[in-house]
Amino acid sequence: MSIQWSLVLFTLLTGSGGCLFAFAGANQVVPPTRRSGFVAGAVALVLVVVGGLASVTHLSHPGRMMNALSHPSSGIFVEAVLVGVFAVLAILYLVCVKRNATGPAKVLGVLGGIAGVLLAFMAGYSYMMEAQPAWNTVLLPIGYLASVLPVGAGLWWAFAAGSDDEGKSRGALLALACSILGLLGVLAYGASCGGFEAAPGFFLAAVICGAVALVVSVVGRRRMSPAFPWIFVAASTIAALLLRVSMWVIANNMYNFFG
Amino acid sequence: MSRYCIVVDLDKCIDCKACEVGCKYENDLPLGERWNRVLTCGPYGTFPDLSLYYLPVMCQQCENAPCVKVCPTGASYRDPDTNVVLVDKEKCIGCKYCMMACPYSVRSWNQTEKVVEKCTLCAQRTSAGEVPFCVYTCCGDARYYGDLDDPNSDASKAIAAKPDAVHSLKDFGNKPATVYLLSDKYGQWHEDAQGWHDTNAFSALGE
Repeated sequence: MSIQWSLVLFTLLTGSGGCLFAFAGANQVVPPTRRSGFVAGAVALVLVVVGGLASVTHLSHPGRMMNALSHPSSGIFVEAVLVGVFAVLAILYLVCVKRNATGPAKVLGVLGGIAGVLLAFMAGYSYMMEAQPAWNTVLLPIGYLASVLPVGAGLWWAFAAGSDDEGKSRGALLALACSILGLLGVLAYGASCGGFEAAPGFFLAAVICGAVALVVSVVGRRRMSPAFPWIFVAASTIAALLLRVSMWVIANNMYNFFG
Repeated sequence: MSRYCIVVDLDKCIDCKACEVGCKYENDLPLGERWNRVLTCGPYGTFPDLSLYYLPVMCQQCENAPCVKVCPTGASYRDPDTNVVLVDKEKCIGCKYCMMACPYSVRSWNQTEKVVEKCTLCAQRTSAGEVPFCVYTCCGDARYYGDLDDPNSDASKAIAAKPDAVHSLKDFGNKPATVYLLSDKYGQWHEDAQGWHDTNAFSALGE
């Protein structure tokens, strides 16, 4: 099946934004830094909005999308609802942070974080279908979520964890933990679906990028250079992108009679 | 609730492609699009015990159609009167989710209208009391149309005449309604698609 780049970008950007917001929201519960929360929340919102717009470019008749309101059982509808819910929560969160309403900001941060993580997971879950054996495993949505956790963590590390050494170290530790999860997610899905045989180049490249991110986070904990978080973000983003591209490359209907 | 579908007697199918061509003609399908395709299955076995049969494939009118389930706008739906799975092109947003979800890949992308299409069981003919064009034009009388819940329909009678030869494409939980009749005398049914291939002038043209 041809690579649906609009959908690759949609799941990558919304998942990354959702996870970044989850870290911002968690930070509202753990000792908060209002400034960090606002910037992270805003960037997360932009990522999700841009990702949502990317999904619209996949459609040939986006103007008919409102018909989805009468058919709420599809995965696409659930994703659209989650994007909308997340956007509302994120906007309210930003308003509360700006107005120093720490109590509501905590609640909205946590709720938005949950919506963001759900969004990352459901983007992969909606592809689980019997017709696509390479997609029909729960390791696909787990891989989708796990692969964008380090992207969100990397962005958090880059501009939201704090400018002091303690904050940077905390950000690097979070990035390290998430990079391990990301690597495991890619390996697990690739192994379960036969991806390393069907598309070895793509999956291996994803693993390599994930490993690079992991190494960068380890080194970055010791050397507080501002470049390391951004290198980590780049490597993690490429790994997450390659996982999604691989999914399309190995896709093949059970009976591809008309292929 | 009715279960309209096509029953194909593979004992009679000679791969003349009349159903393929007829479908394109009746439904004015553009180049590159086919709603019905006749595959060659085999040959199987070793000489002199060889077998081969032809398999016309189109929408299987699944009872638990995944294309209906995944469609976000309800463009892929069941006709409330006939229970036939159809596509409302006015609602289709072109997400192609149904094309991913169909286990048999029987849905086509209309490049001009940018919507998904598939076999409609010739709704324009059946609504007027006629049979689908592929059934009408089959020169081997290998195709039958009717309601499987009506024992007097052509489809039900065809199945009743060969109860030991009843087969369907592999069921992934979607319950394909289309029935294929293949007697052991003419060949052994292979469900796993091994040895199935498409050979005709259309595929040579890249369709």
